[in-house]
Amino acid sequence: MMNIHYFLEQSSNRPLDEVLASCAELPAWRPFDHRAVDFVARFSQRLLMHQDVRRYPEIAALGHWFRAARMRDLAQYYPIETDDAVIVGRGLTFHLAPANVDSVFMYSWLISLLAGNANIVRVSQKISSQLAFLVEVLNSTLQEDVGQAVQGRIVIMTYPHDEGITRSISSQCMMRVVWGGDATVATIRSVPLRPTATEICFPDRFSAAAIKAEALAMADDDALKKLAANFYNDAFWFGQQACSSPRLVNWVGDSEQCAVAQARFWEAVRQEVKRRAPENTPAMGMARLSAAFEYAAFSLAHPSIQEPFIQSPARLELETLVSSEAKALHCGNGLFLEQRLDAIEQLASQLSDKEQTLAVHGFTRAEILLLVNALPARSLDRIVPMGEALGFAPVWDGTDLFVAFSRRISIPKNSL
Amino acid sequence: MSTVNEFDRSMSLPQLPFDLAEPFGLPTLEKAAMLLSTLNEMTDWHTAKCSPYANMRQRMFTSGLSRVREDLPFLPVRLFKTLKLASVADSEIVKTLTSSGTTGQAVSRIFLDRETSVRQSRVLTAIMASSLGKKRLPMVIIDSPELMKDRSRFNARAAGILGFSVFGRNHYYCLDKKLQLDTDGLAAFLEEHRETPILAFGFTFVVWQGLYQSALQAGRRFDFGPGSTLIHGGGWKRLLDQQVDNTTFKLRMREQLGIQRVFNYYGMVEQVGSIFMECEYGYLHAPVYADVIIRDPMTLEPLSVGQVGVIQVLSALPISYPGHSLLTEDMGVLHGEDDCPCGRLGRYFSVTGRMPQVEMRGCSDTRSIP
Repeated sequence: MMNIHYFLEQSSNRPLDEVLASCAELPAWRPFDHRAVDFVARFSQRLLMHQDVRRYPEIAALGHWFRAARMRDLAQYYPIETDDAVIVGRGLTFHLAPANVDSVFMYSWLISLLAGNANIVRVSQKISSQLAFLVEVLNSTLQEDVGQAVQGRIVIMTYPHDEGITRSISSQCMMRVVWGGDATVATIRSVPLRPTATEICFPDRFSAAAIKAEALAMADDDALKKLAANFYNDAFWFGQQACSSPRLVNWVGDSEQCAVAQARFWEAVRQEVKRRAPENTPAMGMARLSAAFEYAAFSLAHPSIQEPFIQSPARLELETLVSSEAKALHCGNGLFLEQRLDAIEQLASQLSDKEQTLAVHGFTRAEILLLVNALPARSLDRIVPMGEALGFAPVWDGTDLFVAFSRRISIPKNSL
Repeated sequence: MSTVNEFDRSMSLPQLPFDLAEPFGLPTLEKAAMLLSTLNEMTDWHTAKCSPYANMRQRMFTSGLSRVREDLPFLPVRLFKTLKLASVADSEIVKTLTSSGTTGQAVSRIFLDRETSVRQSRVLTAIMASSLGKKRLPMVIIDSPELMKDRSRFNARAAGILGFSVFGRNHYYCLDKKLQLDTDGLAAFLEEHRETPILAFGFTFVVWQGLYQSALQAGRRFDFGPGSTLIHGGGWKRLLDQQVDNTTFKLRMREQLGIQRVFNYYGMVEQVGSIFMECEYGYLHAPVYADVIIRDPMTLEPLSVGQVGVIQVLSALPISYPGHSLLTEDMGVLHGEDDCPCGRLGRYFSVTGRMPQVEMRGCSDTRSIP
C-alpha cells in the first residue's frame, strides 16, 4: 500500500487499513449537522475570499453554491426527523473522481459530508491546478477550529491503477460514488461492495439543446444576445466536455424558419465567442477537424455551411437520426451537430439512456410535456432553460443526492 | 448530397512521373505542375477506390481538380488510427504497417499493396543515394536484432530498419533486447571495418538512449571513423523532453562516438519512402515525389517562409491507401524553395515540435482505475 498519496496532512503516512478502520468507525451524523455545515460554509467562504479564485470561475460557482444562506434553505427542505423516521447519513462513502476536477463531482462530495457521512475521495493521478487549489483551501480550513470536528471525515487520496486498494476501500464503505467513462464504471462495478452498501454511478452522458425557430424569429437583438450568452455558458465552459454540455442543437420548425433562425443564432454565438474568447488551441481545432472528417467518412454528417471548418463554433448537419455512433464520435471543443425537427416530441424516439440534459428555448410547458410523455425509458434526466445546463442541483442524473447519501431509521409514530 | 461516388472504378493507376536518378533535381516551377497533376489523379483514384475517402472528400472539400498544391484535399493524419482506409481489396494487401505507439494508445494502420511497397523502396533508394552515394557500406544498426524476429508486430521501427538496411552490408545490430549497447561487439565491428567508412542507422531516441547514453554510462568512447554517417529519424519528442536538440545531438555523436556526419530525416509510417532528408546545412528537403505546406494551425491558411505552422505532407507514392496528402500534428517552418546552399532544389524546412495534445476535461474522462 506504498502507492497511496494522501493530500490532507492529518492522514499522511498512515497504513490504509488504519485509515479505513478509523473512518469506518466514525458515527454517521444527521444531515445538516452544524459541525458539517459550519465547516462547509467556512470552506466556501475561504474559496471565495482567496485571491486565486478569479482564475477558476467554476470553483467560484462552487463556493457560491455552498454559502451559509443556501445551506440554511436546503436544511429546511430536507427534514432530519419526521413523525415516523429519523434521517442519518449512510456511513463511510467512497468517491471516485473523474480525471480532471469537475465542479459537479466536488458538489456531490460536499453534499455527502453535509448528509452526515465520512468520505474517502480518490482523485486522479494527474493533479490539476484546480485540485491543488481546492486542496490548499481545504487544508487551511481544516487547521481552523471548524476543521477539528470534521478532520477524520475527509480523506483525499490518489493511487495508481491498483485493484487491491479499490477492493480494500470498497469492502469497508457503505456507499460508493463513481464518476467516469463507461469503461471505468464497468471496471469499478466488478469490485464487490459490502452486501449492505449502495452505489451511484455517473457515467458518460450526452446532452443537447433544442430551439424553437419561431421563438427565435420573434426575439429582438437584446433577447438574442442574451440567448447566445446563455448558450455560451452551457456549451463553452469545460471545453464542451461536461456531461451536460450540449453537443447537438435541435431546430424545431419548418425548414425556411429554421434556416433563418440558424443564421441569426450562430452569428450571435460567434459574436459571443469572439467577445469572451474561450480557450481555443490548435489542438482543439485539430480535434474538431478530425471529428468532422470521421462524421463525413461514415456519412453521418457534413459541414452545415461552407466555411473554414477548423473555426469555432464548428457546425455539422446530421444526415441520419442521432445514433450511438454519432454520439461516440463527438469530441467536444466547440463542435455542434444540428438537425431540424417539425415538433419537439420527434426528438424522443432518437434518445436513449445516454441522454442527460436538454437545454431548451422557446417551448411552452405543453410542448415540453408532449416530449416527456414520449420519452423512452431512462432517457433524459433534466430539461432546463438555456443557460442552466451546467447549473448544479441536488437532484443529479435523476437522483436526489441528499436522499441517496442518507437513510431513514423508522421509529414508532407515537411516543412509547 | 449523393452518397455513392460517380467515378469510374476501372481508372488507370496514377504513374510516378519523375526521374529516379534526380530526386532533388527539379526547380519548383517544373516540379509543382507535375506533382500537382499526379496528386490530382491520386485524389480521383482514392475517391474511386476508397469509399470513406470519397465520403470525406465530398463533404469536406469543394469538388473538381485543384489548381495549386494548397487546394488539394487532405486528411488529418490521426484518421489512420480510427478508420480503416484502404484503396485496394484485402487480397491485394501484402503488408500492414503500424505506428509504434505506446501500449494502450491507438496505432495507425497502413495497408500496402505490392505497387505501393515497390514505389516506397525505389524512392527511398533514390533519396538515400543522393546522401550516401551508390556504394553499400558496412552498416551498424542501432537497435536489437530481437525487434526483427517478432513478425507479428510489424511496426514502424522494424519496417524502417528493414527499409534502410538495403543501403548497407555486413549488418551489425549493436543493442541487446533491453536496448543496452554491446560495447565489445561494437568495438570489434568497428575494428574489423577500420578501412572503410561506416553507415549507421537507428531511431532517434534509440540512438540517444541505447547507443550514446549506454556508451557514456560504460565510460566508453568509440571512433566510427572519418567517413562515417549516421542516419536517424522517428521524432524528437522524447529527446526534447530531455532538452536535447539537433545541434546537441550531433555534437554528442561526434564526441562520444566519433560519427562525423549525422543526418536526421522526417518521415512517418503514413508516408513511408518519400522521406525528407536533412542536408549538410541542417535543413530537411522535399524530394521531387513529395512536398510540404505549412499552414496556420487556427485557420489552415497556407503560411510563407519563416512562419511556424502545422505541417502538411504530400507524396506521390501511396496507391493502396489515401495517404497522398496528410495534415500532420507536427509543427514546422519553411525556409525557402530552390535556394538552399546545399544545391538541392525544391522546398526545404525544419520541424519545430509536436502540436500539444488536447487536455481532457469534464466529468466523462476517468480512465479505468480499478
